[in-house]
Amino acid sequence: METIAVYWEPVIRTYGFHVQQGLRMVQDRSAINELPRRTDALQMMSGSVSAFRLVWAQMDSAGDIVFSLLYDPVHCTNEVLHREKFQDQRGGFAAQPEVSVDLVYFQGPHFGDRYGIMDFTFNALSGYEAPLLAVVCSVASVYLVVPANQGLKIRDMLAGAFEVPTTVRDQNRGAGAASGMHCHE
Amino acid sequence: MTPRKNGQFDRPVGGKGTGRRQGSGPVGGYPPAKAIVSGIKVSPPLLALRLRADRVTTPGPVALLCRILRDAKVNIAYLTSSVQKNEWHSLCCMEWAQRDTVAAVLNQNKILENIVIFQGPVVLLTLYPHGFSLKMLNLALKALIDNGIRLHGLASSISALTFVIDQDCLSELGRILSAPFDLPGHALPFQSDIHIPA
Repeated sequence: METIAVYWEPVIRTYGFHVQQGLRMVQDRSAINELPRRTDALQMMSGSVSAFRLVWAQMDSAGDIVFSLLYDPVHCTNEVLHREKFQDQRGGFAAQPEVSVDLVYFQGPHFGDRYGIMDFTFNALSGYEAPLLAVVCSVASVYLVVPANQGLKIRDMLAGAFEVPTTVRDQNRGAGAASGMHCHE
Repeated sequence: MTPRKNGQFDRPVGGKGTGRRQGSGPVGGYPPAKAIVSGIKVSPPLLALRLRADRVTTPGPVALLCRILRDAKVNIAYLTSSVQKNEWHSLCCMEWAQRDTVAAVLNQNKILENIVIFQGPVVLLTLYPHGFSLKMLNLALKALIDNGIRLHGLASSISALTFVIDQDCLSELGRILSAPFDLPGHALPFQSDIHIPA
């Protein structure tokens, strides 16, 4: 007889929360067959820079694919990932204006194999008034894209609901509200 | 590639770090460089749910979907959800074996039953590490799309790139991915009856 184990805990443990602030989000919509050409343009524009911090894409209701990419402007030179250049060279890349965003992400034990993680996450943010811009769950990581300057607030809300390792919390106590490109709790 | 005694394979000339442009064709008689993939994973068959919510600027319907799936003890294997032009578009994948359970609970919900589309079976093709490289993303996209693989979505995570593709293309994946990528020599075949060509 086969036994199926289901793992559940009332307060979900994590390995801590990460925040990357001041990222830029590029979004583009194209026919699926056009997508490689668009990402090819991105690659040419970014040169040797390892540009993205998060990418995702999904079909929309018209059968086109909506491609989204977060990049860190700190790593960009004058020739990297400028919307105006894309528009000039590719005729309409970045169909939506680029926006500044923060990225909050976290992992936890067996996150890829357990139910209820995202529901717990949404519950933790139920009092959050500013809109989420995107949610990405892939492999065993959860990513939340939020408007600029909202990342630390979101992280604190999540850290108050999930369980954060004591060592991580102690290391960051007193520095939790510090600004910076990359914060961890 | 040349098999070694330990079952590994020598890397092709001009691999990662040689500075040669990917896909530039043979140079000096050598084969074109390939990008190196250290690991590949293909998931079991999954049910894909596409959700579109019009004129909504919050992830309310997605949160509702997650609540219903939690109540049904259904794990979300993959989720992307984002707003564009006041529409929330989501792609959510879970075990194919749970499709009847999922259909039953969603059909009982007045909000979701009209905005969720069932698709599949699909699989998650995961390549790692991506190294935050647009080159690797671009190579994979070209290989999949140019070979007619139906792509439902993609997402990165800390070190991996995951592509949501139709399950019925599994037998072609070894051949397709071995063109742009130097696949790990110790990789098991995707299916027992296909092999990664040397």
